[in-house]
Amino acid sequence: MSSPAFATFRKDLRITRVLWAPMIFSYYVFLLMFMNNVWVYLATGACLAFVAAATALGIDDRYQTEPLFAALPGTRRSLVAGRYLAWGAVTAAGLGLFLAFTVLVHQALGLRTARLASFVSLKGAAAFLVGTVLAGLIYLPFYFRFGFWRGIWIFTAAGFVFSVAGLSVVGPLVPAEACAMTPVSLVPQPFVGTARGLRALTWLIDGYLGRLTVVAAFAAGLALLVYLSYRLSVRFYEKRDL
Amino acid sequence: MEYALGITNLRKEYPGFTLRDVSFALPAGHIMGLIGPNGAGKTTVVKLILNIVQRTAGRIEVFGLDSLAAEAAVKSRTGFVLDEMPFYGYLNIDAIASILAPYYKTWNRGRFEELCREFELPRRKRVNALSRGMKMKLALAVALSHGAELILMDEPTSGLDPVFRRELLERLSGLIQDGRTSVLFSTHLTSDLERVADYITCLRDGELVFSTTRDEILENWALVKGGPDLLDPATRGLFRGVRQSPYGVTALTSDKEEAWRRLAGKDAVIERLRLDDLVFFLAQEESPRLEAWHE
Repeated sequence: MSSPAFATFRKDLRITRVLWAPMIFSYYVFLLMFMNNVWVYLATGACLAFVAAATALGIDDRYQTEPLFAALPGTRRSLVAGRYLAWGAVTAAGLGLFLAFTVLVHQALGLRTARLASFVSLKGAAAFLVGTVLAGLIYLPFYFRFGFWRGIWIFTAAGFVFSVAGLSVVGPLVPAEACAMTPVSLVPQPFVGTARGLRALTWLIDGYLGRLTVVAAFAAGLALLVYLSYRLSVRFYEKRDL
Repeated sequence: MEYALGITNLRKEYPGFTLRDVSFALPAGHIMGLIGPNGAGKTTVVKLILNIVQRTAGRIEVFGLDSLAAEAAVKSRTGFVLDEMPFYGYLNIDAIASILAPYYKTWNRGRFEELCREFELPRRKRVNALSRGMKMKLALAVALSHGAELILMDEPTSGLDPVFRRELLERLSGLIQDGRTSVLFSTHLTSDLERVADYITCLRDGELVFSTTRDEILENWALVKGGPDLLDPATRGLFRGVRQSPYGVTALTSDKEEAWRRLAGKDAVIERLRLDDLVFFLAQEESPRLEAWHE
């Protein structure tokens, strides 16, 4: 990797440094709020890691610095590479904090948080990473094509549509009892399929994600996705006027 | 002759504006001024050279290297000052330098500190607290801290006080004395160019009007002043831009000698041209493209 890419990586960490302490504090506050529901706890941790990784992009958007860095030595490709590197580093740091905090809470509160202990495992780390990395890999090409805010809106809209569609597909793939709804469900009728899909997804994560072969398959899939996402981002960014 | 910058048939299409097949060259060791009215395409040219925007067609060579194929090499030898330098407002000057330095292999920290002292830039002060002029000085200090051989400046003197403007122009003149450093700068303040520019390139509505030496402009171009009868079918072709009033006519000619000959006995006065007159009158002149449109 070229030195402009490393310079961009260092720059992304440097410009967010001032926010690290409040970010870590709010990360733990949010996780504490949701520690009684393991799935919400996991989703919150993953979402906050995504927000932390996107912060450098938001700061660059706030100060409109993209033309400046595009004019510095290096290519658009190296800027994209630096951004992916920084995103990866923040996600890894997010995972580290997530696991560390989970251990801390479990040690401190013991039985009240018994189910959180299951996250301090290959399964927990894989579940966290799949969600965070997947979101990042899908968002970044949108960012490089449309810029920060338009990218966020399009990513959110597309993410919502594809999640609903994906969950509807997952539901019928697992045994019916695994995603059976309670007889008195609060979920409105149009969203029952999505809710079933969500239950099916948690069943799949619970039952399969801890297995080494599944993790390896996911890792291979993510590696392919990293490559595709990076190539797409470079292609978009090389054509974009800043 | 060795060229620091060569632009051939450069084209950029935006919705509502097109930079049309612009070509010019800047010989090494010289200063070129890029002039033209607002919306002429000056900033677009600077952004195209730096690959901040992508060209639709054409070729840009910097030190004989293609600016796309050898992008990193070209940019490491190029310094720039943009119209709006986008620095992080919450960081201080030292932090900005520490962010930018790793991009340059030849970054000279000592030189940067020396320039900060010279420009009276408080290195501990946050960028948000700097005036526009101070930000411009910071951008200039960055541009001059890595031994750049080509310096691109987009409106560098706007927002600067007259004293520093003068100092900046003197510094630019000093920079090119080594015979290898070249400067391209766009400006509305054409009086600045009269002091320092060796070459002038003029754009209007995205088209190149001319690119030549300052001396040639001052030798061949002139302002012609006369009574209302100055304009007739025989003389009309002499003028590139005309301003009429009830009291007389002021017009721009690009051929002073011919004007002398054809206007002899017409009670006309031929005056030395100033560059701001040139921009003003060229803005009055209809471009061939617009004339074709009217027809």
